[in-house]
Amino acid sequence: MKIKYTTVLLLLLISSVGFANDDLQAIRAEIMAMKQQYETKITALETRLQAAEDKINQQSQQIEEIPQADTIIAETSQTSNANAFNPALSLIFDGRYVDYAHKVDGLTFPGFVIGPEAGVEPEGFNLGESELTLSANIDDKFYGQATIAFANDAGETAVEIEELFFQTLSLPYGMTLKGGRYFSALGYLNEQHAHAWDFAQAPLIYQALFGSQLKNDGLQLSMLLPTDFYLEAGLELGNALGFPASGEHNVFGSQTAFVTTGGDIGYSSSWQLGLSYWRASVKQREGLDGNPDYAFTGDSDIKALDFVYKWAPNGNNKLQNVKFQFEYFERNEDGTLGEDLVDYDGNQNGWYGEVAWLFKPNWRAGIRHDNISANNNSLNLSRLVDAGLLADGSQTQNSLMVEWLPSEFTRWRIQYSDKIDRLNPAQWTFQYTYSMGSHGAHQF
Amino acid sequence: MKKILLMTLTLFTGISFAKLNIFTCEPEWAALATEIGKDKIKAFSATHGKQDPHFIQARPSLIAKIRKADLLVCTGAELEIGWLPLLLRKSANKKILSGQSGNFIATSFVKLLDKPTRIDRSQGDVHASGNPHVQSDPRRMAEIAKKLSERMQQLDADNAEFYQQNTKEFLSQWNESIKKWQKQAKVLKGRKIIAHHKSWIYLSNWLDMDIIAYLEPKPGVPPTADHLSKLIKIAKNNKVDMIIFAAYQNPKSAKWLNKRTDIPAVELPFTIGGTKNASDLFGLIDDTINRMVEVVR
Repeated sequence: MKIKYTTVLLLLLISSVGFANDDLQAIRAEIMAMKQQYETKITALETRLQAAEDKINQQSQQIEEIPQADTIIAETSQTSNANAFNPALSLIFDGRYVDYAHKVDGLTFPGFVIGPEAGVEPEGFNLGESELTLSANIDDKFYGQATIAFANDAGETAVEIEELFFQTLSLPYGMTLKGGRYFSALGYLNEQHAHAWDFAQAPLIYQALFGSQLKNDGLQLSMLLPTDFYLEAGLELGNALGFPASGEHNVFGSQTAFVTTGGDIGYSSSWQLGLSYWRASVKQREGLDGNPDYAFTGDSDIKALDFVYKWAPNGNNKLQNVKFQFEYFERNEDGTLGEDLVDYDGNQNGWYGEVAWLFKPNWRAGIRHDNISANNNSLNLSRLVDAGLLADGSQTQNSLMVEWLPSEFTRWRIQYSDKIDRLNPAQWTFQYTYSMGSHGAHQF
Repeated sequence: MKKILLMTLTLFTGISFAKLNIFTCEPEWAALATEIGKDKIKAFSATHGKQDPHFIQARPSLIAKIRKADLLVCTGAELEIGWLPLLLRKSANKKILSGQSGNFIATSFVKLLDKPTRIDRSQGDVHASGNPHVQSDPRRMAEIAKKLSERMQQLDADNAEFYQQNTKEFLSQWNESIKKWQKQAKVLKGRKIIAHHKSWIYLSNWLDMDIIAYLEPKPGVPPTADHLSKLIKIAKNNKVDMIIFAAYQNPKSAKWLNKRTDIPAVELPFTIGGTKNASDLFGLIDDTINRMVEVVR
């Protein structure tokens, strides 16, 4: 091996000596040129590399410093399908268990004629009044709502149009026109559906005057005045076909006028005050037992005052809140009873006051006091007695309730109402109310 | 006499010689509108910093305010579903109805996170269109600012240039602040957090934090003792850095967990007015980051 290397070395030496001086210089120059060439190439590469690195750095800095617009902007493509135009749908399921202290035959309040809708709830389990509501903006000018109620009526299911109305969205000057069947703006509670009430039964004065609630088949025009505080006024025209009016009329069966105002007191309190008036000319309104001798014909008017005050610490009503509610109604009727035109002058009034307190996020308790009284007059006293229109002072009732509200959509309630009189005994009501479907919004 | 006549005329015809009247659902939008419109607008917020915007009543005072609005600015994504539709219907004000140029829904201009795959109320208070609480991400706020400015320019052409100029100034200042906040919040990266409600998903997304659990067992369902005791275990196993809750939320649950785990409970402003320092949009993010950075140091 060693011999081989030495030979090669010798050979190389000999050969190099053999080269001319000129050749050597040429080679040197060539190498130098090559070296330079590589150096420029390397520098070029180095600059490019530096540039690339800078760019990457810059980009990463950009990522860190400037909002990444493409990840936060909303996607423009939105899917749509035929269902997208379906109206909002909600089902209120109201079930009850009622227990009376003793058997009751029928609802009676001396001095008042009870409407056909008022009645005694059956004892035991029953499906209260469940309702299905559909609502939607019809187009850019109208909103529509339908509430179909399913009620138990002596073992049979009665389906009733509770509300079915349109409402304008784009009238000028803060005006809104509503038409169809709707709860009248008379009073405060009247416009709310039964499931939104704080007690299982309507206040006595509502039961006594309207059967339960005053519905209007007609038109309502209201105007939200451009004042800095809330001030709304409106008028209603109704057909006055049903209780507490009766009989066929031309356009002006019943008229309603109302004014509502309200505001806030600091962050925690708000209030609303309303005055309203209803009148109708009544023809042959059915009296006790449907006896034609007791049917009323004449003028009827109702004046109402309502006040609501709500308190919630800092306006956070989820954690704790208190509501105070008061309404007063007075009805005056002037006309005749029966076909023999016995004179009749009816004066009836009533009020209730209630306090409901959400004392823990899921628990609420309330107390209500009801008072109704009548003072009706006629020259024919015996007719008044027979028609059940002679009153013996005022009637009162106290109710207590406790609610458990595990979510916005479930409510379990237990309520005790004490005895009104011999005919209207004390009662316990256990009520569960579920709302399914679209998220409803409750009025103030 | 002439004066009175003119006054009544203005009162009843609704002619407004006045500023652009903006009704906002939450204070962050009133603050944003004010950055853009300064003294040329009148902004009102239906809620304040200590209030839960999910649960508001359609009060008489709000109806009076919304009736006169030229522009409605709300979060959307069903945050106000329990009260805004009713307010709009009662407003008798066609300018601000859905689809009109006077109706600006902020969340419709940015990408929403946390879109539920299953919409079922057994999952709690789910928002079908995604999480609405975007105000804690300043990048999204910048995007909304641009869009809101365009809308204001469209509605009030006389002051369009003024709005444009203000927006430009606001955005350059805002983007500078974003850089500052991101630098400041580097220590928060990867931190593990327990939050009261799903109010901070955009904040954690922006600052790359990790919200591992919630005090609420399900969105909108108040914390239960059972759920909280489970959180103690989760907190201990995961080395949680802090518990966060919004100024309007009941601090009881966060404090309860803090007592048992020694993990700091941090109250965050959530919106303008939630804390003293959160008096404008800059203050809101400043204070949010400061309060968190303070406890991890």
